[in-house]
Amino acid sequence: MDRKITFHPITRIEGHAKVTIILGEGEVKDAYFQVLEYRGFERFLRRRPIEEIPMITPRICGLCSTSHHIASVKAVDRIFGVEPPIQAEKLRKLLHYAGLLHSHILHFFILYMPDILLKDLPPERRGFPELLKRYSNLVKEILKVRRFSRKVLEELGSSSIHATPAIPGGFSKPISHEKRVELLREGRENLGRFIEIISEKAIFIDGILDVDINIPSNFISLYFKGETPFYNSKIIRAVSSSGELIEDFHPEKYMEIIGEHVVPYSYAKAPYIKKLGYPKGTYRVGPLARNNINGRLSTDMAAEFQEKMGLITGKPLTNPRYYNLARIAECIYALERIIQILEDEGIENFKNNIPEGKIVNREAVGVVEAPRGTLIHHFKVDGEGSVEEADLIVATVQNTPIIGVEIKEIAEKIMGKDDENFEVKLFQEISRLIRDYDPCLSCATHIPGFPLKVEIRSERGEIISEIPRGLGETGKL
Amino acid sequence: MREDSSRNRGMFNPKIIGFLCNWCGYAAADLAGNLRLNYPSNLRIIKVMCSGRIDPSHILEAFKKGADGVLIVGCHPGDCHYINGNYRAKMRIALLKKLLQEIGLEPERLRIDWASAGEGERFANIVREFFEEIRNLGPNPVKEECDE
Amino acid sequence: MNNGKITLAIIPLSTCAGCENTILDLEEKLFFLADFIDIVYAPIIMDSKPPSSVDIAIFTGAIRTDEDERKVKVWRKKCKILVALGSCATLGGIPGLANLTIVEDLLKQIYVNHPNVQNPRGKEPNLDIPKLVNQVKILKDLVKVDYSIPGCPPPKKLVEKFFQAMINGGEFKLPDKSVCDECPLNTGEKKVMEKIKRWGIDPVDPNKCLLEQGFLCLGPVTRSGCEARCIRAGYPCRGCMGPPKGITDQAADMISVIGSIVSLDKIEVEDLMKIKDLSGSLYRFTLPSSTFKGKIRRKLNG
Repeated sequence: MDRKITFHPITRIEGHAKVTIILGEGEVKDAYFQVLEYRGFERFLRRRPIEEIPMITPRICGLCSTSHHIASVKAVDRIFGVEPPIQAEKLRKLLHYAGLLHSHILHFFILYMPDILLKDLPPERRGFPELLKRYSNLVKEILKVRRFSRKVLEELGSSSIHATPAIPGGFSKPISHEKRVELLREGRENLGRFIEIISEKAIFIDGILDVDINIPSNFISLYFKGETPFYNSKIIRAVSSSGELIEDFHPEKYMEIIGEHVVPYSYAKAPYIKKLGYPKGTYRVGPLARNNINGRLSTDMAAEFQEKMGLITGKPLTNPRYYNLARIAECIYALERIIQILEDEGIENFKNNIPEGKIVNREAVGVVEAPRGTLIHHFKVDGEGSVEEADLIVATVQNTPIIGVEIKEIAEKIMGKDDENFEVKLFQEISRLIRDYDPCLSCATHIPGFPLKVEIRSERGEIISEIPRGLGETGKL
Repeated sequence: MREDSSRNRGMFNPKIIGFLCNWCGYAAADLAGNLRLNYPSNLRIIKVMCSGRIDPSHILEAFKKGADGVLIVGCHPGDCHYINGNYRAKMRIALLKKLLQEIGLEPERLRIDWASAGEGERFANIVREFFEEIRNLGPNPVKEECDE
Repeated sequence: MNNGKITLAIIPLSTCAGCENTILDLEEKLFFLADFIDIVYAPIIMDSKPPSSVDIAIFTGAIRTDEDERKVKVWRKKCKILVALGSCATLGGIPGLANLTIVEDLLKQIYVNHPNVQNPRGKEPNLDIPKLVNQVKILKDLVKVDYSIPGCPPPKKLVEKFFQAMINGGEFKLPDKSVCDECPLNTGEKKVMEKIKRWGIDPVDPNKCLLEQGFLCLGPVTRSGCEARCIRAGYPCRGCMGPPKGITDQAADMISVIGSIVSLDKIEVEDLMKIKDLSGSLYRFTLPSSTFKGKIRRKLNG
């Protein structure tokens, strides 16, 4: 008799998800990672004037909203045929890095940390309130760094969340001299503080790589030899699990390279590299992908951390736990870049390149590396500049096929052992694995064709079963 | 009593709200009445001092509560007792019609027109014309929703 | 109450998590709150299961699925004080723009219960998925709401004030002025709009009222409390705090304002018709709480 276990909701992630596991006699038959929310952005962005889009798309997600804002505005730049002056571009990057820092700190230190420091506590105590109680100094210090990122966001935009100051061809306002100097000072202070927090002596560092999970997969990220490409997006690179180059392509051509797999009886789409077919072409994005593809981050202290933590190996790292170390490295990077940008007085005074209002390109793509991975905004507009079609490929959706595979593997691993606290352990392990990816499910399910569904694959990668997602009359299948 | 559904489009008796300004529109309606001119008697009249005083939210409320049409009659451009209230009304109504169209209500259900105090005949014509147009459009779809 | 502390739950509906993130932005004040408030359920930051009762239940996000509806009704029974936090919960928010389309279009690519299921073991698991409701709704439509804190995101200061009030047992009221009252570009002089301009496209004078320059800025029809943060950052208000006291429909009110301030010498009706996407701009955050709540649905006959 098959037994079904459901874990609902998955906690300490952004968004609604649940996991369903079907157990047979001594085996894990199926495992499903389901995302349970949907708002329909791609549909209701239609008919909105394109210049308003960068103010709307951030509301897809309150944790990575600056990424959506920047990706959208880059697409809108191209639609109007304008480029921001270099100082405005720097301010956009400043916003982006501050958002990255704000989001990464939230994820690792607030959402994820209980998996390391509180893992032996019962569920009611596994959470931020308990962290506050038991590790108040650590929390105090990290909140100071987060406060710094918030101040940068608030200075540049209206708020730390949903700040939308970038405009086609520029940035709403330059930064004032007083603020630039103040934030520069605080930036340096907080870089020092953060390095202190994550030193080898930190109590949580050893707990990050607690298991050795080898999950081979392809990886995708923006690629650039020089400044690590979070904003600059000339090339998207896809590599295999062993580090071989699969493809380099220009963001505008993403539709030729990346397909979205649709199962006949499901409306969920899983991106995959067309050249390799589905499911072989599925891939991972995010801090680990960026680390594997771009290698050393282009600032010193971040690169030093990478070296120390074994993140630079010449071959892709595949253990999802490394996502967290890569994430920490990116925090250092963000702080160093924020300081570099704030050192430039040019951001106090510049002239935007105002579009003339004519539609130069009826179609455009804007790509950035968001905290969770490669983010693609693609818009088509009519002659008046109203959106006809919107296609958004967000980071998390690209990771979900692999998450599905991993869930099943973890279930199988744990099943072999002592059966007493099987379900409790399973919940913890699976949740932690999902959290390694820092999934943003509000982002993932903006698409029509939600929710994300799961395929169960055999060890050889063949699909054993795929689960239909029917939003039928009863919502049941 | 339920209104006829839109199946009986031609037969239904439209409920129309008329915002009439004191100096012109209302006076014209008065005159039409005195002259015994024939115009649909179920125009529900609301007297305002000036068409410029009409709040777009009152018009939306009227439609929400089931009005099949809303008619505004003010002073001719240039004749407004308060100088330019009617111009402002014209601007607002134009924007409101555009909004109505976007949210799925026929903009023709909202009309603004002008008639001076002495134009009883003109007033009656406006009202007759409007009732006919609304009859052709059929009942307010919002009302159908409310009734269900 | 729990050891003399107020018990609190934070429940996500169809949310972007920005409101939860705002609470976390309280930073070191969270330590202070922890002395008086016990968070007993908040899936975004902890693993605990839902309690059987709670003093304060805070909801974020709009009501987009039947699961959202169910949660609201269940928790209303379990809590003493129910709070709608953020524009989505109080006004409908950005997801409310979906009310300009019909649900069938939102879900156009979905195949329902297709008989061709690939399942070699022949068993169909029961995988319930929340169903979309026909229109995005606000909490007030379903249950009694004790406190509403609008904003996208809600202003940190208001969130702080709210928690303060809960701890002190004092009153919490939303400010009832308009954004213009807090705006640094508001000189207090009479405004006359002589042109219609498009934000992001036409050049901006950073020292003059944006609405007066001809940009659509919903300051006059939006509740204060945000300190005009968007204008301070250099871009116009899009009304996320919802209408001020006494107004229910932001679009209607804004149309009234435009009618009042246009220069009759310089602006014709044709100029006003150039303002694009009235419903998406004037109802950006408030469509589900507006007069018609969205696109007027026509029932098909027969």
